[in-house]
Amino acid sequence: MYKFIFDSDALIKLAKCGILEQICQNYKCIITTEVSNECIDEGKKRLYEDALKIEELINKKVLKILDLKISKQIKENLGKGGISTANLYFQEKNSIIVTDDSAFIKYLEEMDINFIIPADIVLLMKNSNKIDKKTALDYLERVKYFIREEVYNDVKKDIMED
Amino acid sequence: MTVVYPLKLKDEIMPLIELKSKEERTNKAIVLKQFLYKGLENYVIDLVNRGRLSVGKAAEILDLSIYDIHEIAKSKGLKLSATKEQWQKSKEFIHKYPS
Repeated sequence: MYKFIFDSDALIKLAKCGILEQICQNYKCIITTEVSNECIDEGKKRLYEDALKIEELINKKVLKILDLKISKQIKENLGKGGISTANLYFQEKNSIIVTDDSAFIKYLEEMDINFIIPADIVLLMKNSNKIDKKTALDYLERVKYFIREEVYNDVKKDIMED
Repeated sequence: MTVVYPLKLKDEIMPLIELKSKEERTNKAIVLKQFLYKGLENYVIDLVNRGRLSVGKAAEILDLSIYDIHEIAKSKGLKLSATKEQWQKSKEFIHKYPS
């Protein structure tokens, strides 16, 4: 089974939508310490309640923080969380990056690194029979708030068709 | 780290700077800095929207959290997310993934 490595953008969006726990209970989900800092520490400092939701998943051990053994500077237009996420991908076999960050995706495409956007996790869960079509459509509605309309429409079509 | 940078401003804008500084009980340098940061914030969010800067880097530059960046984008009616072309690549993986 693939391990999902989340960047901060995707992790926060999925926590806000209320579907992160479901994902973490069905797949191996990991993050870096830098992503944890961005999502939990910085979020708690500014009183964002989604930071607590993410922390709870760490406490439940369904979302794990892994230490980096390698750390190289990658690109100047990426933040610490993104750079560490890419480094963790190089370290962890059978992994895929979950992100919705366009600039980060450009880098992943250049490097031929597998990635998946948050809306497609909903489709993946439905295709893997982890959720039914109705639940998938409900989840997609929650993600809709964060994704471009054309992506929402196409993912919806895929959920309906499959 | 901070830098000192000389700046020439038109006389005409100074009354407005003075007005804002009086209204907000602060000094003119802070008012100018607020305007500068507001412009910088707009520019940085636009770069993220065009996929030239990551959300994380934007947060670092503006000394904000990623949650704050999401909130700013929401207030501007922007969705900082993958493009349709990028989604196509993500979809390729879905078809390869063993269910």
